[in-house]
Amino acid sequence: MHINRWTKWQLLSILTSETSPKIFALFFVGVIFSFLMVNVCFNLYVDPYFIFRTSPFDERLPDINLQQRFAKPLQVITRQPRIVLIGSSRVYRGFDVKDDFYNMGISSMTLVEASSYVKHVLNFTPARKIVLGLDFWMIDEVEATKEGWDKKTGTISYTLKSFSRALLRGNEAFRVFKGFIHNNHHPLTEEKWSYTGFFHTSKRSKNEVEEMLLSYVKAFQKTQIQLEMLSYLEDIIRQCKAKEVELYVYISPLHPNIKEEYKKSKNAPYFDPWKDKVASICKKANISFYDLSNILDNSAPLENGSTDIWLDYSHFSPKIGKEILQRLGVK
Amino acid sequence: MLFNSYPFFCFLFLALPIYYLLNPKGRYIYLLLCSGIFFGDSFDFFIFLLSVSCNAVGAFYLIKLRKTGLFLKIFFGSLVFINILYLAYFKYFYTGLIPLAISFYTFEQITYLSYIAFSKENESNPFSIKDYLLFIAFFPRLLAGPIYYYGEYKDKLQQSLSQAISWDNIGRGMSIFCLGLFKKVVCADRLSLIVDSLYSSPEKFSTVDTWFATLAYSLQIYFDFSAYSEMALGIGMMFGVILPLNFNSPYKATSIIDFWSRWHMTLSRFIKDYVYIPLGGNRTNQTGNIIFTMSLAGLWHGSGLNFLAWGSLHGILIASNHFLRRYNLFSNLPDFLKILFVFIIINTTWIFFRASSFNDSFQILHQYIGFSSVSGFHFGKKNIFMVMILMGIIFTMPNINELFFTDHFLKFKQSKLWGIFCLGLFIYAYQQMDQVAAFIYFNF
Repeated sequence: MHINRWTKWQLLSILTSETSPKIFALFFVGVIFSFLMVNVCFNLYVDPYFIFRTSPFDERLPDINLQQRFAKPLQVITRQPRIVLIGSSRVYRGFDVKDDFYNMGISSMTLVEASSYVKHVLNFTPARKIVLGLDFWMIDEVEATKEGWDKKTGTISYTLKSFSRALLRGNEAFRVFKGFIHNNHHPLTEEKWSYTGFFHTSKRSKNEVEEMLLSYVKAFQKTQIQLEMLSYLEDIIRQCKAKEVELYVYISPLHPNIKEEYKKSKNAPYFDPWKDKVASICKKANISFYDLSNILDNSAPLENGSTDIWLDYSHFSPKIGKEILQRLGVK
Repeated sequence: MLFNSYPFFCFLFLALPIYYLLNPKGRYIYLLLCSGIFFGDSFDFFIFLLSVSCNAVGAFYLIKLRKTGLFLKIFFGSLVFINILYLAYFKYFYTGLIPLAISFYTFEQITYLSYIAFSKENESNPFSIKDYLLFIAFFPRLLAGPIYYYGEYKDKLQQSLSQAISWDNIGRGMSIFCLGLFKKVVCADRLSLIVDSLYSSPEKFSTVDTWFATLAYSLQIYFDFSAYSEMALGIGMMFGVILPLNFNSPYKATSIIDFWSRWHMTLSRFIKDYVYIPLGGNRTNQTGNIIFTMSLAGLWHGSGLNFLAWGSLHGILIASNHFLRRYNLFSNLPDFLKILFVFIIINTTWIFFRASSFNDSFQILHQYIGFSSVSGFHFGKKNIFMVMILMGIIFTMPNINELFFTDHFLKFKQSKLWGIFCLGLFIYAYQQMDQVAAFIYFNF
């Protein structure tokens, strides 16, 4: 009892006794520096955004889905591709690219955002070719940019900030590590991100496909098409020309059911003028342009869920992606 | 760069050791360079440099006029007027975003011009472009204060360039920085979730909710702004400059006058010295001067009617406080009752400050006094617990001034216990830094 009490007092006096300012400051700096270094090492090892590793620590990679606008611009820098595909989820689900390609498809990417990602690719990668996949709703003035996008994308300061966040932020790496330890015995999901930015999508059931169609229709009803926003396409063309990078522009293939929905919507009058305007902008700038919106007009409704052509009513399969690249002649 | 961001930690870890390795001339250039890097591309350098260079030219001519004595006051007044116009243009008429820090560097330049025009010190040649640049660009305080006076800081800044490394200042500075980081990330940013939900759709909340969320805002704005000021103070100390304190437990104030001598102290001082006293101070029409000064302070925060209402209300309250003092009314009340009464008044006036419009503030006020169509409490037990703990801290714990600069029994010591405590706060706050939120006062 006496010893315990004595030990407590001794401990308290050690803790409260003043040390020299130099030791205090150096201890402080040392602990914070070590803490930051541990975070950096842990992030490099677990790599929750699959930026630094060549194969993911955990193939589930839960955080990329929610943080594509943060992760993919950093991935494209560490991959240093020769050819970059830019567009929405139709791109990242549709193009299973290899080697010196990078698939920079980002969920619901708008044309405003695409312009900044092109700037980013031109500034930080050796890419000589850019393939831009266009969708009608990319020029929605209601949601010209989405959550997670930063208007400074493409600048050095934004890139440095993002890298520092990827290296120093501790929570994600810890969460992924914990998830990996807990779920290691669970079978891996079929859906996963590849090193080149492609997302392997599993087959969808009939119900899932129907539900997704409903959600697309609902989202499209809120869309307000603004043809003036095609000025961002002109901006993209200007950027590529300035850096002498070859640009390929295509309009994504559409399932007939989606086309029907477009025709029924308030934005229907803009659909053909949109295509014409894109064509005329590209023609004027002497850019390779492909209107592929009609190439899958013969597709049947997805009565049994995903087919080998369509993952759902909006997303075409990698088989079509391969065909598109062949048509564009991108190698 | 925000103090509560990952790039800032990298910046500080690189900037500080290099600073102490340099000679005074090198340190001077290096500090300017650090300021440039710190502000980065979110800072409008053109607008900043235009203001700085115009004021430098103005100061040059002020010295000439000072020698002759002719038109000095008129020229000084014109320069101040131009500065105010410049600020007003960007705050109220500019279509883009308000340039970062414009209010704070404009105010500081006014103190600089005043020093040049009227100071009795260094009468032979008070103008030094080198001192001026360092004064205006010293990065820890430029974004949102504390506002410091050129006359008081020019020598301190110069001394810091030549002084040897002070481990005491570095240790203290880091501890203050950790406390500030914790206040911002853990306290203020969490409170903002409660506050934002009320102010974004007030109609969904009951009277109890409204009271709770307005209380949360009183805490949020204090924790947010005092955290920024403390982080700036801590960083300044690491570089050898002790910046002025900006807060002194404002919610422990026993009167409205007392509150304004504890809240945003450097702005209060600036407004007193450069608006209230030139208007006549307490010599002529004191009540009018107070209300006008505080209304102007309100308008400085924003052009909306709600800001004007907030400022005017405070003006009226201060004037009433002077009246009560004059006739010794309520002076016998116990301090805790005075503190409670003042806190409730301040809490109510914050409604005008936080609401997005004058109409919104009235809707919230309507609910606040009991007229809400909704009943019940929607913020959960966890939030009650958090607000209660923070209230306890605010009303019972010593502030940074008491902890670090006085002989309080809990005063900071460079001991293991304090080290572990501050490092613990840093590590906990660091883990919460998921969403970096800007400081409230960056908007002003």
